Amino acid sequence: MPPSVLIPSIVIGFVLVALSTWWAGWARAATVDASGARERFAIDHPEASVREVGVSADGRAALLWLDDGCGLVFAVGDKLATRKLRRPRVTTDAAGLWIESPDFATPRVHLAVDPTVWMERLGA
Amino acid sequence: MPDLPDIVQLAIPVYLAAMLAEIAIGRLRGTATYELRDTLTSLLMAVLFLAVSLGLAFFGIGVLRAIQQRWGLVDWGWSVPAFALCFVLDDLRKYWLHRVQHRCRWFWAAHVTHHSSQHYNFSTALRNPPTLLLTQIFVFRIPLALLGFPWEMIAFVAGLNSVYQFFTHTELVGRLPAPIELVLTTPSHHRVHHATNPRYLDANYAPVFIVWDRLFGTFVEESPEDPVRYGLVKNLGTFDPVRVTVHEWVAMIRDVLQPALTPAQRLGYLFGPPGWSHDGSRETTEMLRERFRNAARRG
Ligand SMILES: [Zn+2]
Ligand SMILES: [Zn+2]
Repeated sequence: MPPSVLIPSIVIGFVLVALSTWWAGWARAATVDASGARERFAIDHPEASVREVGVSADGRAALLWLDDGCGLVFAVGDKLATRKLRRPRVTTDAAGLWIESPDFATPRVHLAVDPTVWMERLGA
Repeated sequence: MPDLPDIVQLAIPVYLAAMLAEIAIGRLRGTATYELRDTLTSLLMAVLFLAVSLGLAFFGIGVLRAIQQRWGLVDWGWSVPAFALCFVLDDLRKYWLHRVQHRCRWFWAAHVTHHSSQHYNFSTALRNPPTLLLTQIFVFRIPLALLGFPWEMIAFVAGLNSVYQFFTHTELVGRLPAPIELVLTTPSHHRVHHATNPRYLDANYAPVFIVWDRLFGTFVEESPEDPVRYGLVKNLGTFDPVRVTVHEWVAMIRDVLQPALTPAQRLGYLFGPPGWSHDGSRETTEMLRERFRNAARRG
């Protein structure tokens, strides 16, 4: 197959696959509540003992106060990912706080939670 | 030499039809098998992989061709048994390469991209690492060239092999009849390979013949009591294709360049198992299993 046919067919095919995925309604972001955050965190960290959960007002992420620090559950597309936070960089804005990790595969996560309570727990 | 077709190129329309069918069936059943950004990332990886491979493959091909012509042990001709033998031996070398890709961080840094989706569908099969050729995995093909198999035959059977692998990336197929499950790698076997559940880690490496895993002690059966969770033990928090491609390379380079390490420790970060660290602050597969066992004991 000459590249002049092959490349456009791949592009058209991929666009069709992406459109079908969108049409199927599979582009929604995951949301989480307190018990969902506990459950998801326990899958990756079954040893963790969770004292309290703070769910972001938009339901896109949650902070977990643990016996030995803090944990994070956040949406990645329609799935969730978790992190144990070790001295994260935390900044605040009017709506809550931002958590930044040096980890290249972890995005800056925004949490609409009470910063005064969580800044102290995060050790920030 | 016979005029051999480019199997992967011929398979492209079949791949596209398979993905569309999988989406349609998922929609009818009401199970979200795909996710838009996840799928876009996988498809973009496929394009990048193809572009980089076409650009860099010439070097590997040249080396393999020279080795076969100078030192090739046997002139196999182009008979069907020669193709069949080459296919089986290529699958065996892919088993070992794949095992090394999971147990040595230098190779894992590229292969991790293929495992980075939390979804499992035909598009996951196309999520190939554009940095694969950086790890110079063509050296694993040198034994085939030394045995005398010409480059064209090796490329042809490798194409067949990758087409077979594509079809193992689906949740639509449950268990196949026992004789097939005994000999061939099935969707059930490869689901286990993509799992993050501790009991499934580092298992079922064989691309086509699952007998290699049975033979070399790395076979694990899919169990209905422990439904597979896909992805990485520390899942990525991004769909950014650059980060998906290079995150482990960045982490590895940062580790190697830490101050006050001995040369052996630096080598450990490059070629040790994923999760190895000089101070035990990270987790290898064995350490992770131990952590989960302890947590289960404590209840
Ligand atoms: Zn693998
Ligand atoms: Zn795979």
